[in-house]
Amino acid sequence: MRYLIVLIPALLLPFVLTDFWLAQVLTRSLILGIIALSLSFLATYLGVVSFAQASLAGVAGYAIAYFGPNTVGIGVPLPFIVKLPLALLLAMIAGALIGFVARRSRGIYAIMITLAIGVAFFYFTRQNYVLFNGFTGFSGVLPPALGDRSWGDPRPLYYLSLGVAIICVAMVQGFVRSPLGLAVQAVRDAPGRLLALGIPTTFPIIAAFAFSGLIAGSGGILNAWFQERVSSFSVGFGPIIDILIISVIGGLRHPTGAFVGAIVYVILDIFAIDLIDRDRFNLLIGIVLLAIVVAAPNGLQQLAIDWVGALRKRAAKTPAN
Amino acid sequence: MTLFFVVTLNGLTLAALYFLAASGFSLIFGLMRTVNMAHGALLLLGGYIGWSVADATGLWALGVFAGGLGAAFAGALVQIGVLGWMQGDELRQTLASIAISIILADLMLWIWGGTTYQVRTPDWLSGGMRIEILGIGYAKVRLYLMAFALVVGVALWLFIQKTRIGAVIRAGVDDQDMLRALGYPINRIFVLVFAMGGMLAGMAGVIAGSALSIAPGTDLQFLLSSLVVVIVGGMGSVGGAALGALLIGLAEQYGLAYAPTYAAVVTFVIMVVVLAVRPQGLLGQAEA
Amino acid sequence: MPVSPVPKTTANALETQGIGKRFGGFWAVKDVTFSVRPGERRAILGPNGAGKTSLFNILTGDYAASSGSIRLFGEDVTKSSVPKRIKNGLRRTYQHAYLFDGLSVHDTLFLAVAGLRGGWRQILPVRKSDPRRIEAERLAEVCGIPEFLDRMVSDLSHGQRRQLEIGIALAEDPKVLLLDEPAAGLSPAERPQLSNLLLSLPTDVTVILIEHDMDIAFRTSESVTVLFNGQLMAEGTPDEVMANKDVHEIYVGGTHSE
Repeated sequence: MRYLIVLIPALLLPFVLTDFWLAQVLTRSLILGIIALSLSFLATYLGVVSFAQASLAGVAGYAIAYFGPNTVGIGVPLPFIVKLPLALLLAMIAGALIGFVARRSRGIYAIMITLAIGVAFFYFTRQNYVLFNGFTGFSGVLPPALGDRSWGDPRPLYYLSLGVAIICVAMVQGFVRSPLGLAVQAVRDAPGRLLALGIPTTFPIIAAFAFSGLIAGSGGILNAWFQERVSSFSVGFGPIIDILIISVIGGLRHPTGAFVGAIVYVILDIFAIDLIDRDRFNLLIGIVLLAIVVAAPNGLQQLAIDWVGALRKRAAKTPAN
Repeated sequence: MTLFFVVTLNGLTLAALYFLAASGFSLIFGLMRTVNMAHGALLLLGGYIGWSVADATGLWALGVFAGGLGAAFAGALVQIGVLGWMQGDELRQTLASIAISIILADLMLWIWGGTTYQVRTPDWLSGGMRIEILGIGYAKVRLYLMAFALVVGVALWLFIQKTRIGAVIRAGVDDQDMLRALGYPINRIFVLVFAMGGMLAGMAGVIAGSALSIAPGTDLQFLLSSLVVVIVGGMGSVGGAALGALLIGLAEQYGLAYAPTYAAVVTFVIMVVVLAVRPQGLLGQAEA
Repeated sequence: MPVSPVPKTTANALETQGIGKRFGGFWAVKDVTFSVRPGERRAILGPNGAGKTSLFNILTGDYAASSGSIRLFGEDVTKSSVPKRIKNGLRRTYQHAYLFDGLSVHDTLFLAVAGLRGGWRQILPVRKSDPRRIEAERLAEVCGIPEFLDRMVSDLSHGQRRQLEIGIALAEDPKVLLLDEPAAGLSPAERPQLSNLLLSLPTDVTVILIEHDMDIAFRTSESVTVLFNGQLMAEGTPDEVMANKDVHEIYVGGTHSE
């Protein structure tokens, strides 16, 4: 029931909104939200804040560009049915590798290590021309055709992103109810105790990172199609921090808050030009992030829940008085 | 062979800069468990202030001093104004310091623009110097940089190992709560440590602007290098920062000279190998 | 091919031969030889620092023994890893209830029952009718907290956490149960409930219990081992041990009392 309140308007919106709103606001929010979901998932259930999620999205984005049509003449074109799972698999493998490297690190140590991995990947894409085409990356990364139109047109891409977002949220909710997902949460709470049950801790950590790679990768592929390009700018410090900011705004411990955070972020991005000088967007977003961290460390979604709770309490009290 | 010597010297130059940048970062992390993500921004801020002062007065040394002082002041302000309120909540501090670094970076872009600056060095630092044993010439400013890093390293080590306040900081690294219980003004010490970390960063910024150059992005470059240096060398140890800086600086330059495509990967591989063998870093204490 | 000299049926559940653990120059446990029959209820007593928990840590494999050997149902497990001993039926609880605060009681017991066996299906959500979930419900019943099945572990009281600890240890057919001060920190009102729980444990399970509460220890155990300064000091029925002069000496003698 709760989901329908969100879902029905989401399905109807394309019929009332302009293409600009649909593509630049909603679709973009969904895509950023999916990538941020992969971070919130790790933060909530594994207790690790990973700064490498934009890189995982980038791995899948680069893969879909390398194995598909692009206009830079690099790569091996593969049929859609092969390259899609391959790109997701590569993102999962990349996630598993990061999980393996960071397996013994928690808290701020994990932040430092994943950030170092993310930025190292960024520098690597800039220097490597064989796989990543260096600084400029890939352009002309088009989604497959949809009849005589393209999946990249505003409405199809919106519905595709919405569908992927729903699948990702459902996957997260399913995963955390699975034995492996429970083990991931047990690692978060008391790794030593899990070992004492005879359950290894390394495997759940790696699995959680691989799973986050699958989600981030799904977002990364959509992002490559949305932008029709993928380059070192897609995996730089900017996107790394953007994803973090989105998760923090939505609440790091609220996976679905990622979508709330994404909408707030995108709207700020678009309307900053009216609020202040376009060039000062970073100043604005920095102040917003600081304000959230100081005033609402659990994110906007938790803030809203608290407010609604307080209002209900008051509403419940009034008649009694 | 000449190439090898030059590359080695370049590596040592970079290592010296990395050490100057990372030592402040490591000090703050070691005492306070705060990952100061604004460290790179403080470094760049120091660099810009140093450039402005040196440009206006023509006095390079004054520029270094002003850059260090400006960044120290900014660092103390960050601790007093924001991070001090969240002491103990490490994740929140990290996120807040990221916000501060974004804000600072944009303010600096506003004030100093997107151009690349090089701090003009005085005559005694300019030009090259012939190193007879190696049979090559090398920029004086870079040789002095290495000497300076060495001096700072030794001074920092003496300060931490041999002085009273150093002993308090060292005890703080191991046991914050005990120190607070013993009645030490730990909050004031925290501000002092932040100011010191900022000063090291600020001076490193001016010196980076003299030996190389500074521009938007320099902040990120040095933040990353500090992270890697500290991860490799070990958290909160001066010797660890020095060893980490040496390894990463040299590896980066050798990589750039002999395997340019994979230079970024070399650093990364070193980090992964160290983490696999010693998660606490080469000279770090194991996590409690 | 040498045949196992002791047939499993007649072997002791647990048997140690001169085991010890040295930390630097200090022997936390020294030359301890004792054996426990299958199904026996054994209490291990001794003042603080006597080496009781260290002994448990050696038995479970958390510490590598510095000397001696350990046999579990006749099989030498001195060099075996922790998971291997768990697989052989050895379980323990911890003195400090160290649990998964972010999971529900149901999920905690489920994890204890299910582990991570069963291949790729472990990534699928668990069905309500899953036999392992039902088994988790049964364990909650056994350890006396069925009404808290859907409660988060962080919401449990101290006593309920101790009960959950025992429930976890009972998962998956344990053969030897090591309970490390299950009554520690419990209120007087909660204690009888705990001894009833201990008395209701399946009779085929061997139980070794560290306990400071003599009342609980003597009520639930048929035999007692007393450790002192890391060494075995007395062994026998509760009555024999109560009558032992050395035991009186360490508890009442003044200098060594807690």
